[in-house]
Amino acid sequence: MKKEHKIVEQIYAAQKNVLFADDFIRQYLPFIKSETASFLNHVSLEGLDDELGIAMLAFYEAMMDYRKEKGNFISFATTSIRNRLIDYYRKEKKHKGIVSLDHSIDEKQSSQCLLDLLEVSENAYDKLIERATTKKEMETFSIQLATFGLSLTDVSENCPRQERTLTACMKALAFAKENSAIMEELLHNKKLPLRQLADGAGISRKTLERHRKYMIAIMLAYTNGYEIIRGHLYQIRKKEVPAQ
Amino acid sequence: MSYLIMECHMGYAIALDSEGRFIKVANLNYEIGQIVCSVVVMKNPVKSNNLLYYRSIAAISVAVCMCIVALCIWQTLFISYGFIQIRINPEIKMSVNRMDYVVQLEGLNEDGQLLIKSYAYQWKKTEQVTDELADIAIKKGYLAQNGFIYLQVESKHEKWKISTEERLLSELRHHVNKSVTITADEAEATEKKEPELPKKPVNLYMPHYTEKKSPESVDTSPQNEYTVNDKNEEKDESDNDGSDDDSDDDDSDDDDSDNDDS
Repeated sequence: MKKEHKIVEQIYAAQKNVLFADDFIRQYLPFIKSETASFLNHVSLEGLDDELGIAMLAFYEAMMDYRKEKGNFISFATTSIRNRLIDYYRKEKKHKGIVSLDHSIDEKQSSQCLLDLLEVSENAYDKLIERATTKKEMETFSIQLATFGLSLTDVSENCPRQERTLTACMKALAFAKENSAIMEELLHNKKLPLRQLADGAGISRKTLERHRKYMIAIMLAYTNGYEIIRGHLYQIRKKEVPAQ
Repeated sequence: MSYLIMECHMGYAIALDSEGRFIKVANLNYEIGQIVCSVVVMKNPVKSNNLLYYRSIAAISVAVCMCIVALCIWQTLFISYGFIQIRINPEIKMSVNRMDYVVQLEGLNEDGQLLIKSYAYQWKKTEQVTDELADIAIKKGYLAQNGFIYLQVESKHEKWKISTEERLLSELRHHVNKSVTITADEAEATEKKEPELPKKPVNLYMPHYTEKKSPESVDTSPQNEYTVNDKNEEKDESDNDGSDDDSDDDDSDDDDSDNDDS
């Protein structure tokens, strides 16, 4: 009973803090692995099986969704993992006949996979450098975001879900891009100039206020130094409505 | 749609899609900076506020449903669907609900009020009430042999009106003595109700009026020459005599009272 209480406390702490959440998942990784193995009927390998990643996500979902009134956490998490894996299998059923590029050529020569046989036009070294640059940019972005008191997890939780709201945010972003003073004010004051954005883009201030964290992150991506992120956001241009 | 992996955690990764959304996805051994084509998106947890919101919505829905049910029951049981009027001599008006139960009974005249006095009509069907009222009317002497019962059903619902009228008429005809006429036809009822005119002419006291007779019917015999005026004269004489007597009586009474005083 006391142990259960401890788990509940841990979960409540993990729901508020990302680091506690990671620690909690790490602590229960053997349980997640065993649940995945019981579903797959074989031991899942960390870093190889997608199912383990799905199971870990299901465990994280269960942890975030858990309330004391819902009963025992372990059984709650077990159900969540099983349901998620079933969903994943149903979704992946249509790709059953397709062979993965990571599949080994021969069972004996397990070190060589199909991907190795492909003639790739891209230089692997260039790709590696590109990945490292991207990683560095992401890290810089996260650090700069932290100066606003935000993390990417916060931003993802504050991201607009409805298409209409996203379009409204993009409208505000388009207005901010045209007015560099707003961007400068954001970087200088570390505050989102809500009034100027709302008045300029003709959007409700309440809408922007609700998605303040998201607006900071996306506007930050359009300041100098984040070319890779900006390059990735090519579809935003379609949504942008020129500010009047 | 492509996804740029921005951050990796134990249970999830944060990806930025090409439309500008930051989403939590399953970390399928991703690396930061990796661009992937498909991801397993995390389900949004139901926040406690949302839970409270849904619970309150559910509670309100249940309350509204209960109100509707209560309203339907109330309307079915206690709201008048139609009226039945019974006229024997006592006139009674019944309010009937949708289920053919009497919800109100009203006496439209004095006899009607007397008839329904101390009669319990609650949770009784219309057939039972009409039968019992007919029985009470017979018992109290309102409904004699060759009497009539007039029944009228009023309602906005024509179908119900016709069916109820037919049902009650047949029920009453079956229940009450065959000599009693039961009808829903008002003309027939008024015809029955009109009192029969006396066969003999009534001698009315009508001063300054002389009964004119047709020449054929005039009787020439002197003893039959009888006018209203003559009769009046006779009547006056007899009245005068009577009034004299009365005055004498009064005097005598006064005398008695004087005597008593002495």
